Amino acid sequence: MKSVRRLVILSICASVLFVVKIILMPIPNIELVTFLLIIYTLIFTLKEALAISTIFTLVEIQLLTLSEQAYIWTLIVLVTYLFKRIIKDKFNIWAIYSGLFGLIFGTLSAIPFFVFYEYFSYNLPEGTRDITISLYILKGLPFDAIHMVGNYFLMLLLGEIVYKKLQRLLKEYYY
Amino acid sequence: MFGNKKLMGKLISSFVVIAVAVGILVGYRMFVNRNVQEGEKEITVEVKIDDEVNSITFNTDEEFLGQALDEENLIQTKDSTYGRYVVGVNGKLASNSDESWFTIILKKLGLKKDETMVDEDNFEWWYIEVNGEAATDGIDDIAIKDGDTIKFELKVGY
Repeated sequence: MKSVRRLVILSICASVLFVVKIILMPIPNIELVTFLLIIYTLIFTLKEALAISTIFTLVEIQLLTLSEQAYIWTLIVLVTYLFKRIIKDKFNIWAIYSGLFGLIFGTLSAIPFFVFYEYFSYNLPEGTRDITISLYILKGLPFDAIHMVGNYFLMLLLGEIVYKKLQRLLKEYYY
Repeated sequence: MFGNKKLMGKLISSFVVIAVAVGILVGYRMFVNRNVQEGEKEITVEVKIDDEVNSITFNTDEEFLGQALDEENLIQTKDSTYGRYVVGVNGKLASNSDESWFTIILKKLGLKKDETMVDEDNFEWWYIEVNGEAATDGIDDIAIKDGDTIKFELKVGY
């Protein structure tokens, strides 16, 4: 019974990620996916958090597209797990951490884009495919700055509240 | 006392985050503005549809392409979250210009069925070249200088 409940809860968490992604799409780089993935990693085990990020990534690829950002969600879970024991529940530090992830998001996207340049540049219209890695990162910087501010304040204002609420719900329905 | 210290920490880190973001935005703006040329300049706009090319030459005091084209009433644009983009040049609109991002997402998700769904092979869009090179900026970020030639080409499909 517990394994069924686990399956359902992890699927719901992944679905919530996809829903918040779609809802916030019109606002460039204000997103709740990083925020929620950090909270999930703090609450669940590594295996469970990885299951959520993997389901989310697969759904994203299937319903939207395979973008150069697809691997970042799992990376966030792994890096957050490494810092979990150090930062613990200091949400002002998690806010800075989340902001930093926003700031380097463009650079992280640039890496697979240029490693698999043939594949990803094919998604660009003909005639606009000759871009360099520095140009890619540079043009994205204003959006990275917005991403950083958004991630930082979302975590600062909502982090502790959502973390405690989710923990309480999980105690009630899961553990 | 302890609470005050914590609040102070939050305020300081918030201030730093905002300052870094403002610094990046200002720095980026300065980078974009580095090629700005003041005073009157003559620019040529070539509009290519199929194999037909129309050439228009005019003088302007504007510093960026978007403003100069607005002044001459040469383009129709749409606002997006990433800035303005060109949907029409010299009266010719790209056929899919009324597609909003939301409609496209709904169609991709299969939540909106539409017989007139945009077919990527027939997708019309304006390709922009500045002095023979593909533009890497939006029209409002392209600084113009005297003697520039801007080419708009209506492309079909990716």
